[in-house]
Amino acid sequence: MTMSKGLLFLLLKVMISLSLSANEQAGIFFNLGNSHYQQGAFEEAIEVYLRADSLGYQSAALYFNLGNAYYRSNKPAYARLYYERAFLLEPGDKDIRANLEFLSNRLTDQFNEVPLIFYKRWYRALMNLLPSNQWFLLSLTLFILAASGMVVFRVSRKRTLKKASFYAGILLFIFSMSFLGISGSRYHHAKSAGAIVMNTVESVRSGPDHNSTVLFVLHEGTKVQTGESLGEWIEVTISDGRKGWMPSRTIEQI
Amino acid sequence: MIKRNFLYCILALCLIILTNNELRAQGVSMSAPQAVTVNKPFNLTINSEVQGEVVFPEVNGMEIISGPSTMVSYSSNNINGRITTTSQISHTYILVFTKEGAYEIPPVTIKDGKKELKGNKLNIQVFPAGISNQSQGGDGSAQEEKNTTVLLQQIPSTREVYLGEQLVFSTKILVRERLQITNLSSPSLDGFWNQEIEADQIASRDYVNGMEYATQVIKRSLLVPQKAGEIVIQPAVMDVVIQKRVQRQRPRSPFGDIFDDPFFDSPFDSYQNVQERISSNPVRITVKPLPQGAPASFRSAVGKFTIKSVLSRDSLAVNESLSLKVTLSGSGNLALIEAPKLDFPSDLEVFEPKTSTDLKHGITGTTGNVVFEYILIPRRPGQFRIAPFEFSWLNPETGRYQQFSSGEFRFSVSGETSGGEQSLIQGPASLSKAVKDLGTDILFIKINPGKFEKKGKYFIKSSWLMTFPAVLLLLLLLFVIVRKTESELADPYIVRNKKAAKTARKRMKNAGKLLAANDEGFYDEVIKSYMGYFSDKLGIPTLGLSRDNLNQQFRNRNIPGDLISGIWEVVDECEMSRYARTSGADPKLLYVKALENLTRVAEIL
Repeated sequence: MTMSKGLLFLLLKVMISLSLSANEQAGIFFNLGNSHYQQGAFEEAIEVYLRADSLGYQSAALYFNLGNAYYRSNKPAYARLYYERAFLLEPGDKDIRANLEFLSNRLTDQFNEVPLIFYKRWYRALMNLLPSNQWFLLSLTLFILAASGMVVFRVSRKRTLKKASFYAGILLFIFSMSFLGISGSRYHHAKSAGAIVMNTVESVRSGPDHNSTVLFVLHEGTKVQTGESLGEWIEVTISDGRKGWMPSRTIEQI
Repeated sequence: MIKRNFLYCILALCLIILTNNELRAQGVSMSAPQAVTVNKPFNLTINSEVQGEVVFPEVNGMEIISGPSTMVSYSSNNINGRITTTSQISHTYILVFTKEGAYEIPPVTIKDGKKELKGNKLNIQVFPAGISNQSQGGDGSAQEEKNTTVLLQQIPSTREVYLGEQLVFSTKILVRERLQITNLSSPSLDGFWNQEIEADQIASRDYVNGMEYATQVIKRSLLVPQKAGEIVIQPAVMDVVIQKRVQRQRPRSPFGDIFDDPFFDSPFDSYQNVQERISSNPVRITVKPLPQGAPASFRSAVGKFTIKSVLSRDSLAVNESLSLKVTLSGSGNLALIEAPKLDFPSDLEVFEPKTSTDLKHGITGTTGNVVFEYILIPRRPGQFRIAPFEFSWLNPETGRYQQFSSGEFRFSVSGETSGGEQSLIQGPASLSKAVKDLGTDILFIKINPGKFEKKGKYFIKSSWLMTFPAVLLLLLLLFVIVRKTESELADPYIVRNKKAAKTARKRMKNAGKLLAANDEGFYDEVIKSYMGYFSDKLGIPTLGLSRDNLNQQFRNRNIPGDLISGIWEVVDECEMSRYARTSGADPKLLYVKALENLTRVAEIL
């Protein structure tokens, strides 16, 4: 096992010295990590996966595998963190969703999640159909088409063509703007995805100092929404709506 | 008989004396400061309820400077018609000691007719009038000579504590003159949990380096260190305004310094308000780490405690609740102790323990009790047993750990297991874990890495967003062009102007064809093309195509003279050939020339 690992690392170094693009390097690390994982060397797998991550490229599969590796290494907080990151990238992926749910149910803190209102759920589902950038490109395409429609409207002589092109242009414009909005929503959603509690146990207090009353206690792996921050403290909200203050270093943003 | 009378007299006298002694207990009291400086006058006051002549005792080394000055106040009480009058008389002496040492002033006597009342005796310590510049308390640096009017001290009750042990921290001011505190900034007590407690309500007297000060603790806190090692508490800083006497110039008296004594200060001296900033000493506290060998159940409790644990009842039905109360009392860092972790059986539902505290923070530390209440709900009938739990703490006095082990707890539950759907009410950190059955393990890793995208590259937040206004701009541009084109198309003159060259070319081409076919219409076509071109290009209607008009136009347009003559040559030739039927020149040459001219003109126009 050590032999093959050593060889793989050597191979890696050689390939890197051939100055591959970061993208391809990431792919190589990913595969290397996978092989570590399959051999049961989870800590090494994590190390390699993180190298891939540090190259500045991300993929849902990488995060998913990282989550698995952390789970196997008995670090549920990090596992949750990476599952959530994977989920952000590919919300439609069933595997990610399954593992995330599985893990959430094994964590100490269980919440009565406040379910989203129906229209919010629909919007969320719609938003998750495509990544933000693809929504953007779609919007841009429609915008260009709308513009061309307007030109046709302006130029054409025939009444029917004029009418058709005018309405088509308006319609395309509306769709284009909505898609742009969806693209923005997804961006915003990714930026405000929340954070995970990394400490085994942490008290959440009524105010940003150690002398404030402890309101409730959270355990590792719990997901919280973050709000204002003040010095070393940050305000968090948990799924059932309660708020409090925790030291910023005890949580990590998704 | 005389003997008996004598006896009676003595008895009576004794009685009188005794009663007098009792009277003595009531109403004559003498008071003076317990410590004075040598050669510095001080007040001694005698209070009594009886008027009379005061006989002041003589004391060696003590001189009476003035006195007694007497003040009398009467008060009368009318209760249910019974009027009682009391009087309060105070005699004040100004005394001075000329020699240092410890003195006892014997009781003063007040003669009221036959009655003699005696006061109490006083002990007074007389200190030398020295001014020495030693450093004052703690780890502070030496103070300057002028800063002995006001001192600020930070005093810990102890300098060595265990981690988690309480200490009392006082901030004390010592003043010799009247002053006003305008600002007091206390150091930040980093590394400590702190709770402010009562400061002194009244001032007292103290002696430092032979000088008398009025002292008062203005701030007192309970501190519990949260980390081991050396912690230095920075000095406190205080801004004060002192009223300093500005003495009038006095001529040098031949009698020496006696007249410089402040006793002779006239109330007409002027005062000056001086602002000063006074710092206290910093304080170094050594926090000893917790000693080795802490039991497993130890969780940062330091102090002296007793614990009780009791179950609220020992029999109940399924889904009913009972509570386990653990009461921790004593003194120490009660406010910081967490609920002990109990090991509950898995089929017993437990809620996060409720903590209620009843604490007093005082000069002896934090005392009181903390009650941890665990609410338990059994979900099945039968016998339940909760294993004993342990609680340990560190006794700072002995430096040893102490342990408490509760007994086990038993209770019985009657009833039926609640079947069907159980809605588990869960608190935010319940000890029971709800596990949904989703399969037994996480799914395997992904083999296909998918596409690696650059992190954080969102088009919507990048310069890509500029494409939208760019397209809009393009659209606007197109509209402008369309507009222009349309307006041009609307005007026949402009259209013709633009088309002039094209039309002319077409005509010439036609002429060429006619020439090849030897058609005489060739000449006509050439003229038509020329005239047509000029008409279109110059905007002249066909009627206005006179030679003069055209020549004018040509000159206006800067067409060179030779070209003009060339043009007319061709035109004349064509005209002639058209009507005269005599071919003066080779039509082919004519055609070529005509084309040349046209090309040249077209370049200019």
